[in-house]
Amino acid sequence: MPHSAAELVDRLGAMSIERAWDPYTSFDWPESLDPEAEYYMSPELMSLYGTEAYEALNETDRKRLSFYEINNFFSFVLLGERPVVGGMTERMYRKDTMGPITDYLHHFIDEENKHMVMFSLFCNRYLGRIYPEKKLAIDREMAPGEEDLVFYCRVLIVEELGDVYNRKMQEDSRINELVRQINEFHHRDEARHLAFGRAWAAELFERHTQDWSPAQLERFQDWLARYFASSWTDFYNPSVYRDAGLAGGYQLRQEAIAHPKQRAFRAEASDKLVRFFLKHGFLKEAPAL
Amino acid sequence: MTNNDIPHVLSNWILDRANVTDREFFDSQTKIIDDGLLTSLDVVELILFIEDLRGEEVDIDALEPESFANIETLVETFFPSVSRDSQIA
Repeated sequence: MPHSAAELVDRLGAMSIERAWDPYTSFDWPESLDPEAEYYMSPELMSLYGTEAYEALNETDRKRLSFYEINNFFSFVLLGERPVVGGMTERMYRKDTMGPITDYLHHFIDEENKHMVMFSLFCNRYLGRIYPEKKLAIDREMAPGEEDLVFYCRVLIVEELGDVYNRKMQEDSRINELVRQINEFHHRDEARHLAFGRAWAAELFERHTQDWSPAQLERFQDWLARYFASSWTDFYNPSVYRDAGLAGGYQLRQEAIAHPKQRAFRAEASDKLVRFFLKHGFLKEAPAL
Repeated sequence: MTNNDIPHVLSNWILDRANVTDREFFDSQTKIIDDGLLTSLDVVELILFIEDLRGEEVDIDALEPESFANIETLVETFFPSVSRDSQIA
């Protein structure tokens, strides 16, 4: 039975209090990690999995690649959560969020900040840096309320796609134990964030778009389809391939993005969120991913 | 590929990305973003392509949207050693 955001937040907030944790003390952080000692990401989740380039790698190469892939995953989720914290902070205590929604946003922001600390501790300690994102904000004209919808769609995409990986890796005994635990802790919080995000975004979409023209709605739907596809390309980072010792990083990226097995994986991993967007009218058709 | 090929290579990448077949109108002053050839989402891809051409990463924090105004600003920003009066074939 679907719940409204207002109905959900009391229960979600109580769970946040009950399951509170600390990124500094909830894990044993080793001084260093050996990139070639074990897998750090489930092989099936790696961005080159299924490609000819992946098949050509030996076991040690694959383990080393998985180390840089997990650092890339943690890096872009961290950097994707940064605007989430900023956007949620701006939206709390507004007329339309005053009360229980804002009460829950305090938990949301608190947990997102903990995730950022957790990913930062990992990447800075074991990789020595955060992989930078290559995004450049360029303003565009928006319909009334569209900025909010764009914001919540971005939140849903970064959290939903990230959670697909979290859910698989939290159960994968083949990978490094710290990485497995980080995925487990992240998933626990994200499950609540997604429940809230889906309910709240659906309400906002119905509220804002009823006054939009068909052209405004079509422009938003077109943006979302392209943004969704673009978000997936974060996983295919030429710097990761270079750091793992693979030549031709940009070409490897283009080949992996276009590879049928990777296309099929992206479609399957996106299915739940695509169905949500289609059901509520955010998208008019499934995007080409 | 020589440095003087850079403007032409960038132009081709942008026009391919934008699915433009009639290329007569395009020159080093054509507005890439303002004229709707590329969106901010395409710029992510363009930056990675530029990094591949340069052989080194781009410092995104040092960039302004104006760097992506046209071919001339792209070359000035990312390939300063390329002659500014390079002609696009």
